[in-house]
Amino acid sequence: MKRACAYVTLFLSALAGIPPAHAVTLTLQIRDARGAAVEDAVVYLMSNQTHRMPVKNATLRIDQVDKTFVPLVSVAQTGTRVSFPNKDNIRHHVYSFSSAKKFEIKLYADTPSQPVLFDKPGVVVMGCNIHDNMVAHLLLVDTPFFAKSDRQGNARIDGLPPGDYSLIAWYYMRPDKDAGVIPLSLKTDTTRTLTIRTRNPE
Amino acid sequence: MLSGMAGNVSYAFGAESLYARIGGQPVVAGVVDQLVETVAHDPTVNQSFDKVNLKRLKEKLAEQICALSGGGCVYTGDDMIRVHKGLRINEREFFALVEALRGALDSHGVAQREKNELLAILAPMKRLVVEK
Repeated sequence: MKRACAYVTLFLSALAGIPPAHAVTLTLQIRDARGAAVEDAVVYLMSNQTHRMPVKNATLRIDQVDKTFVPLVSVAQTGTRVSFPNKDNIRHHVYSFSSAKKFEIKLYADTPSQPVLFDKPGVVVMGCNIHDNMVAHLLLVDTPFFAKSDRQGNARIDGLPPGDYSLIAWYYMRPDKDAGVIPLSLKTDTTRTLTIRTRNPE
Repeated sequence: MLSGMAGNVSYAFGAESLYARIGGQPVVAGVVDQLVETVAHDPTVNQSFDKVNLKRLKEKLAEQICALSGGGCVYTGDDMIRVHKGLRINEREFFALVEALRGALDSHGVAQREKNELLAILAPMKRLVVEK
């Protein structure tokens, strides 16, 4: 009887197009060439399906705190809207000349601003006209499967349908190049150490 | 001949804009540069200028002075309330900037009359700038 129930559940999930219950998690420990943990590295998984997948988390925040963008590095799926809340009570004037998104938005104290839609994949580097040295990096990827490494260099991507992927790493200090690409066949929860290039060859 | 020249000079003097009498773009740019450098490096007033893009500030300030003194510029910056909101500028800081402006005008040889005219144009901004 128990077994029959399990079969029925499996059958219904297949009908409804629900991702299989055994979605897997990829955990990465990201290291540089010297073996040190790399913070703020972006990793994402692409397959021949991922570019068709709907935008998972359609909103993102990039705040302004003490004349600094927080966070410094962000990753989002193409089609995400980003809000710029401005925790500073002074004005900012955010702009980008990046080809993936050229925009400018004036942020005044106590005046909420409209979120900005990022509808092309690629790198967006933002600055502030009013304040020197304010910079934020945003990578737009055509996949819902992405993560950013924490201070310990760990990044985790959940809810992955088992299958074959390309794992791509990106690091904001060398934004024009992939920091690493490896093919990955994911059947079960997987933990890997990934060594990436954090600087250009000298 | 002499009186004719004097007449021309006086005519031009009366018709010329304050901007032109100050010395136009080069003098205003020099005054603004000295003013901003002075207040941005004075530890008693420079917290408002922390991390501020001073190059842009100088451009907007010169543009605004040009617009206000009849130099024909169009000011493209934000209004004075928005610009200063949240900076919590007090009277002391405001008058320190006025003093720095006086000093910059003096060291660029701007005459008393022009100096007073310009300060009279800028003085009413105090209520838009000072928060407490």
